[in-house]
Amino acid sequence: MVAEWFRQLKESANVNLTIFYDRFDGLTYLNGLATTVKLSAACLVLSVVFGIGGAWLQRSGWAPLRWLVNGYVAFFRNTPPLAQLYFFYFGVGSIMPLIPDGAGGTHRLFDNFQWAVISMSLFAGAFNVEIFRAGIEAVPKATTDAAEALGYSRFKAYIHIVLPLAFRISLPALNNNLVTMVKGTTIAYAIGVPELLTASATIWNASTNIPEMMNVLMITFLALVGILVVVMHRIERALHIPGYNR
Amino acid sequence: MQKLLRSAALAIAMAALGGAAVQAEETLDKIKQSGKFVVGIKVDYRPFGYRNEKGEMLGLEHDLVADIAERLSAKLGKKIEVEKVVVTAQNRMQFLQQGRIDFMIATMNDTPERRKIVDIIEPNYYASGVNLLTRKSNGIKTWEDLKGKTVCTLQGAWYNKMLTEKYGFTAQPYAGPNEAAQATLDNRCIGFLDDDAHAASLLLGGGPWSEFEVPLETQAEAPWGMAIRFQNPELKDMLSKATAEWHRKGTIAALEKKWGIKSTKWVQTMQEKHKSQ
Repeated sequence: MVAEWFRQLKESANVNLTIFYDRFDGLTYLNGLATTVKLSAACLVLSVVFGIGGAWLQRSGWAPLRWLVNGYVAFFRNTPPLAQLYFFYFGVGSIMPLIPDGAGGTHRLFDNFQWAVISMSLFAGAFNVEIFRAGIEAVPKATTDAAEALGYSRFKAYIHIVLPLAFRISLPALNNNLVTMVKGTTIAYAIGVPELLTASATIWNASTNIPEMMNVLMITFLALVGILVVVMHRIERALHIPGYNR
Repeated sequence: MQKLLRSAALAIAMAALGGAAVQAEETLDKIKQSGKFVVGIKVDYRPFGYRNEKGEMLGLEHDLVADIAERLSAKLGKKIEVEKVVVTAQNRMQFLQQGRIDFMIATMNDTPERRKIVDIIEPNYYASGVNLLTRKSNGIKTWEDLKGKTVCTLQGAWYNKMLTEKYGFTAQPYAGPNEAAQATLDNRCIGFLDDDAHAASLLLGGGPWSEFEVPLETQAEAPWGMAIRFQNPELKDMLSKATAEWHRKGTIAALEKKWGIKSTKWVQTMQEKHKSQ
């Protein structure tokens, strides 16, 4: 029924939306959507973990640890994400050990999807380190002093007092970075991860409906990022402390 | 500034006129006058065209050019020298249009769009299709063996969808043949869905590729065309007859053998077709 309508749209208006009537194209696109969502979710969680961990280590009393974090941030902030992806996949990935796949063959440790997650989480994580650092520095010294006076250890004060406040302060900047990261998942195209851009390219190369697929791709991302923004705003509002930082 | 722009525009217009002048002249007359046959040919596509250790250009297409030069010498009644200009896939048609070369034989697929730009000789002299470059140890025998496997492919290849749909494998598309080849060497996929002529050239290069093979029956064959500029009926006729004779006499099949290329069905079919004519 729907398929029929889209087929007629092609006949009558020359708008060829194959994804709605061609089974293969439809499945390719759905798989692309699922892959992008999985990729984004994995990178979202990991990059926030890297950000929080990095920001914590950056305040460490042991200098080499601080250098390590600063080096990490400098490396990932100062090099192009696409080049990083190629570096990881072809540079590091090629020397990874071969592991048996259980079916008689072997494959490399970490496939293209996993490398995309690693590479893009590290990239977004580097920015998150700086975002959380700014949040932590915005927590008044008096608050940490008070925690110390109440007998909190450094670690406990970080977890229970500094981080919750810093997280709230960091949220707007974090939202921005996560939105950029979700859009950036399209670079996984370069190493053949079947995400939305790869799926769209496969479809438009076979069906030569480039303008249509470009529009579909844009609308899909508009919706995906729109959902992310709404969720993040909800979190922001839910975490809001009445009277604090206003 | 405006004066400069105007003179630049004039220079471009004159260059365009010059280009037109080149086209008006019959290529065959030009060859006869100069005694030189200027050919655009490739050296990056072993064994069709490459350089050996001494830097000499050779290959299947270079042999065909030598044959054409002999025919030209006989026809024009004087010794015709071949002057080779190295072309790539990006510049071969422009070189021909601009008159930098008189004839092009450069592993080019014959397509309707290209036929609008240059005059492609019929019949086609060769054809390539899609095959799988895979490790011998994978034991792939038929296209059906690929079901459920991951296959490295090229972004933008029109056959990705058709073959994925038909044989149920997962395509992992890469930006260029070198990335796809590297991913294949890294065991990222069961094999590389490649142009069979290109795959053959990788195999001949040896090295890590000596563990690989091209075991399947070639699919989605597309013909290759030699080309000249438009409005050269005499030259075109001569080249058409030469190509037909190659097919009839089995010249192409013999050259495939000489250069170690797996005998293609397309060449055999063409041979049978032209024998019966």
